Amino acid sequence: MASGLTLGVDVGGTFTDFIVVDEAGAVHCFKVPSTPSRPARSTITGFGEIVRELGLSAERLAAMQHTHSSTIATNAVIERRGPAIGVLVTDGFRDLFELQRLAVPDPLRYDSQRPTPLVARSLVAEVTERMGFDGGTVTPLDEEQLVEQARRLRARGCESFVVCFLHAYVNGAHEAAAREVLRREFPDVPVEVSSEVWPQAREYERATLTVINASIRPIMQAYLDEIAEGMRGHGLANEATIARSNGGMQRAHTIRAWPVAALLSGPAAGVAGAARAAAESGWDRADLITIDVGGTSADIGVVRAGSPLLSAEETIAQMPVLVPTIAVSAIGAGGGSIIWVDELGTLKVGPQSLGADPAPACYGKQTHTPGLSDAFLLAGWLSDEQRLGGRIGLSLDGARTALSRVADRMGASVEDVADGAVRIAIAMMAAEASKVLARRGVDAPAFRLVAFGGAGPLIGALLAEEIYVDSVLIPPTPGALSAFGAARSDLEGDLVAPVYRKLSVVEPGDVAAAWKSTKDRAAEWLANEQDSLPVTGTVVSWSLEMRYEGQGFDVNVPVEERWLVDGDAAALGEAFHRAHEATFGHASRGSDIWVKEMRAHLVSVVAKPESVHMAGTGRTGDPVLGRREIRLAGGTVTATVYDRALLAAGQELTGPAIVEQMDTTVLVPTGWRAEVDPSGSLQLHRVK
Amino acid sequence: MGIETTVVDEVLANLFQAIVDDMAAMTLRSAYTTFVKETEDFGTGLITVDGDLVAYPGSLGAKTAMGVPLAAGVDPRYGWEEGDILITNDPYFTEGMVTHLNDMYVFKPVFAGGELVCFSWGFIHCTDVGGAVPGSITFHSHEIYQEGLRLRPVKLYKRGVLNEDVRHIFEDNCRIPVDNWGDISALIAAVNSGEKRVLGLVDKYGREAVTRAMSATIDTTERLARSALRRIPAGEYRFTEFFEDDYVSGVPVKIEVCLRTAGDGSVTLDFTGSDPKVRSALNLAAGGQPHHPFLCRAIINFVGTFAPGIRLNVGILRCVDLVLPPGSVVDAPEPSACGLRIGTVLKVHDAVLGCLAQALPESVPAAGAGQVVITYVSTSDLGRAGRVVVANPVQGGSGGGPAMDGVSGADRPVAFLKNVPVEVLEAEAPVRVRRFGLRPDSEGPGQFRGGFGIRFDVELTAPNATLVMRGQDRHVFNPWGVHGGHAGSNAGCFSTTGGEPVYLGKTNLHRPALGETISIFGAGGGGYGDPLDRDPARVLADHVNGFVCAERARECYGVVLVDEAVDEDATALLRDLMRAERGERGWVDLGAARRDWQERNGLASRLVTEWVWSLPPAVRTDAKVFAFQGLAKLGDGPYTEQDVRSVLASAGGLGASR
Repeated sequence: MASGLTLGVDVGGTFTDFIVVDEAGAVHCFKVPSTPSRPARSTITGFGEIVRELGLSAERLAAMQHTHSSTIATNAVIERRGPAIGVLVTDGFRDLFELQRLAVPDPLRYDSQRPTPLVARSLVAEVTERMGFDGGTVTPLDEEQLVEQARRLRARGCESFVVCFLHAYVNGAHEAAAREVLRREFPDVPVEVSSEVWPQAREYERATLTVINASIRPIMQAYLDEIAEGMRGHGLANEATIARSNGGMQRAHTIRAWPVAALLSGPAAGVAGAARAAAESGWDRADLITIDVGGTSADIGVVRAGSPLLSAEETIAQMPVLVPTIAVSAIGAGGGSIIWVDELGTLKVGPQSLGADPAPACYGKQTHTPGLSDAFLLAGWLSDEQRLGGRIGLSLDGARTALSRVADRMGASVEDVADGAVRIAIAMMAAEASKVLARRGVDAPAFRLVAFGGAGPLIGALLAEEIYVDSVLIPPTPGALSAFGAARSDLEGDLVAPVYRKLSVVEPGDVAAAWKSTKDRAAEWLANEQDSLPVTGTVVSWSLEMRYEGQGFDVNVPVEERWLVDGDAAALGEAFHRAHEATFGHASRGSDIWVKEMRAHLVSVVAKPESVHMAGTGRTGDPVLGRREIRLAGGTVTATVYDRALLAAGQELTGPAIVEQMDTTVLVPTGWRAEVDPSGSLQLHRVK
Repeated sequence: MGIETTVVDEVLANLFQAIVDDMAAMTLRSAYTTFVKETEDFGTGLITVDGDLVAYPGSLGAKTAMGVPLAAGVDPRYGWEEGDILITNDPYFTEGMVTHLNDMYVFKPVFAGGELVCFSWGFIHCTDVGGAVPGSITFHSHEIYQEGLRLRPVKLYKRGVLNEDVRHIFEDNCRIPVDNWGDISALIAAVNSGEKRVLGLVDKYGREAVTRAMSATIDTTERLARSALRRIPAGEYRFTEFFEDDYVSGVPVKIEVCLRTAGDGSVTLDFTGSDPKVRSALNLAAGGQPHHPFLCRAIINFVGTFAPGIRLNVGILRCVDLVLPPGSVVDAPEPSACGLRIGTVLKVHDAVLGCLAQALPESVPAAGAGQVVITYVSTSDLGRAGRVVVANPVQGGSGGGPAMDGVSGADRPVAFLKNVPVEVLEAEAPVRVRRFGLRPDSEGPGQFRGGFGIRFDVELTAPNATLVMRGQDRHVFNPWGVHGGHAGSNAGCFSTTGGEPVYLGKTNLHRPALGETISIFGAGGGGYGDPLDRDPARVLADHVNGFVCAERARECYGVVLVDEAVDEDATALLRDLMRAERGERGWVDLGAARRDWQERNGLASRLVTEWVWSLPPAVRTDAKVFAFQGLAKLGDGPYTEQDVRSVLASAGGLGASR
């Protein structure tokens, strides 16, 4: 199928970013202010401007595919908006949300406490019923009591029901029955059951996910309705697709029922965009660390063999997110992070941030508290002549005044303070990056770095030096990479099915049955989702969550489909031993193996043109803007300054150099060279 | 010092922290047992060549071991070579570094260019190291020989080669060798990674910069800790805590502490007056260490609260000096059993907390539950070595604080412990969990009330399974409340088979019949401040949430609730009346049982302690028990000085024997 225009939109807290990739693969980038009170509005009005600016014809618009990522669901959870949810749980477990996983966030503080329960205890009610871990009924569901309890919850103001019964992930019959009863008795009240939202063991985590799904649904539905109507108004014929937390996308109308799949779509699309940009730069199946340095934080992700790392252990507002989500770790070090001196005279950066308001001193709103951006400006990496985002001028005097307050306290020069602050910030990011790899259990012989966000391209190469990385990629649109990721996304789904059996006693037929039912669900999902998309091919990857008996954790083991079809315990066991050995350096071939869950990851590739180098600036000329003194490694050097829009594909440059573009600045330090690749990315390589 | 040095120190401090956090993450990820994976009882660190802890994980792992004296693990007499890994779990040989046999410590030297830079270290709580019971720990043990395998420091790896003999000794002496070895392997991978990462830093920054930054990191922490501790006004503050009994004699165990400070950021904790070691596993083998963190939990938490963001290392411990009577329950001699020393750690925490509450009333919370029951399920079926699965830590609530209610089901010193999801537990062990929730009305009332205790109801579903429930306490004495707050409720343990629950006492090991449900109750945390000053809206919220019944709201808080609303006028009247009627109250509410005991035994306790410590070490433990059992024969007390003298006189030869 021929591919038309594609659009990716990312609605962030401050800006809404748009990426349009045209039929020839040219990438166009736009930014408008977000409209948090009506989050769809910035997308709709912003796109109107784009239609005019690019002069898009009705015919091209009608054929346009459009994918939307946002932080709308994330914010709804953080701000605890959404309807009052009443939760029905198995008798004995009313305190699920109170106890969480027991531990407090900071056990060494006397004032540390768990986050406020997601659902107040008054809105949680117990129901007599019980399933065993093997799916057998221990106690039948007491339907009368269920109705009674539901009435009580209604009387307490509950607007929406969630049912989460123990072991429902392996046998959801009681949950299904409860839903029937509730629908019959309370036809106007939405009901959500945990076994359908995500059938995986761990009662607190599954209940949390189910409640989040129910609570963000009305908010997401209102947003999606507005997007659908607004985009139709612009003449788009295709249904919107929505970016998911797993880096893929799916149809808006199925996300309406399952919005939790899009919970962390914004940051996920950023990492997916980084992976995509690397692939388009010819870094095939690359192992990448991605770093997005924004105003308040640095977000770090990992890409293994070309695919963003998915995790079932992500959190939102200190609550667990069980669905596979692109793993992103944040650390409080961004352009707005405050530079300060502690009581012992130690120079510190963050975690407090100046944010967008009042912002670092270089933005001219204050001169008493320096932020990291002030250090960048003082080091000459940013220039007061440069107009950030084409708009705001920077004040070197303001930055210097603010930094001098810190310098005076330390008895040092402002230059030394600026250098020191940048080094400390980079060390913090390096520390976090290594922590991410350790926590995720990722090891690869050679990682490469993708740096994006407002300040990522400035520190990318220096961070790379700190973490022993020799190549850095700066995508063409580093300030709008989530939108880019959305524009370039494919249809991606995840399914989980319980097994919970010992491999030595499992019947081949049981494995095959689990495979068959998952396969059927996959086929149904794909058929439904692929409806209007120009899909060119589909791959289903199978894996099992397995562990040795007695072991306290699961290893995700990729397996071949035919082993599942045949219930080939020997092959599955061997795959586990090998995976265990590869990850932990040892295997225990005599031990029993437990199979916990079967997982399927579905990818349908959507037709899209290859992206090509920088489109639409329409300008040509000498890319060299001039030279300026910058501070590097404690000394001063003269850097050549380039205009990125005028760099041609294949062009090479040598550090020290500065490359300026609309929404960011790239630093190429001494000892590095850079070249523009055909897709428009800037590749930085360490000179050996 | 130039800015260059401070910047490099700060950069390296960040990277040291990353290294130990990474080591912790590796351990957590690849360890086998639920004890490590779900309850996170392990630690990792970087230590100087002198045994000073430089960095300890911030978010993962057990907080109790932060700052243990590690010199015994890095002693030059071991003849360190590159690739060596030392292992030990012996509390007595290591003079209090290890504190019970389940903790396996490993050390790896980091050499750069043939020179020793530092050590990479970690420990893991091995679920089972043999001994009398599954999980190795029972209060019945009175000698360490009953508590399992004991390994003095020995090279598990010599120049990179595994010593299979050591491995075999280890594996042959525990019930779950595969799982335990899996845990050890995880720890070894972690210390190897620590070594590699430090070498990376040496490569980039040079050995001198790295070792200098290690000292600087510790010094910085010490200075920040002192600055926090300077808040404590100069003076002497005393508090006494009790185990209501030592599990075997029925006689309480006293922990007495005097906190002394000149207001200069240094603190002395003097345990003179505490009881001698006991004939059960509660002993802490502190090895006479002058800065042992197990006795400084409250001080460490105080520092953590008032020095936010402080890096965890031995610097905090340098601000505390301990005075430990040799042979006491807090400095027990070889070969005292010490498996359950966490109980003593909790009591000592509460005792020091009591000192801080007097020194600086608005700085610390009331007492929390002061007990944590670690539950296990052990099975011996299938002709295999059997299985030991950790079920859950059953905790009580923490105490109410100066500005917030206590946390439910998590006491401060052990608030890092996690539960095991019921759905995971039931798949792994033959149990059915009937209830894992909170106990309404169990809190200590206060302006800021204590947290509610946990209730864990569990049934075993296989005939050959045993439930281990170690660490029961507070069945009689209560967690105290402060500044007008009331004491929290007691913990307990009950059995139900069809009819009414039967009190089980503080049993350690129970083999329930099929269909029998065991209920373990955690205590409620003590309250902070006058409950009559509690915002009625908060009392109402607790009531609506089913935590506090209407009667209790009226009786304890003076709040009159009608149909889930506060009757403001009736409440004001009732509160005035209650204020007028009640008598003078002290700064602490120890609870009725402790008050009663104190009235009857207070004088006797002081005299017996004096007498016991005048006796030869070998007889002190028995002498104390003899004295109290003798007093009991005289009736319920209160015991006079004469009563005590007569009982002590009858001890006859006790004093002379050796």
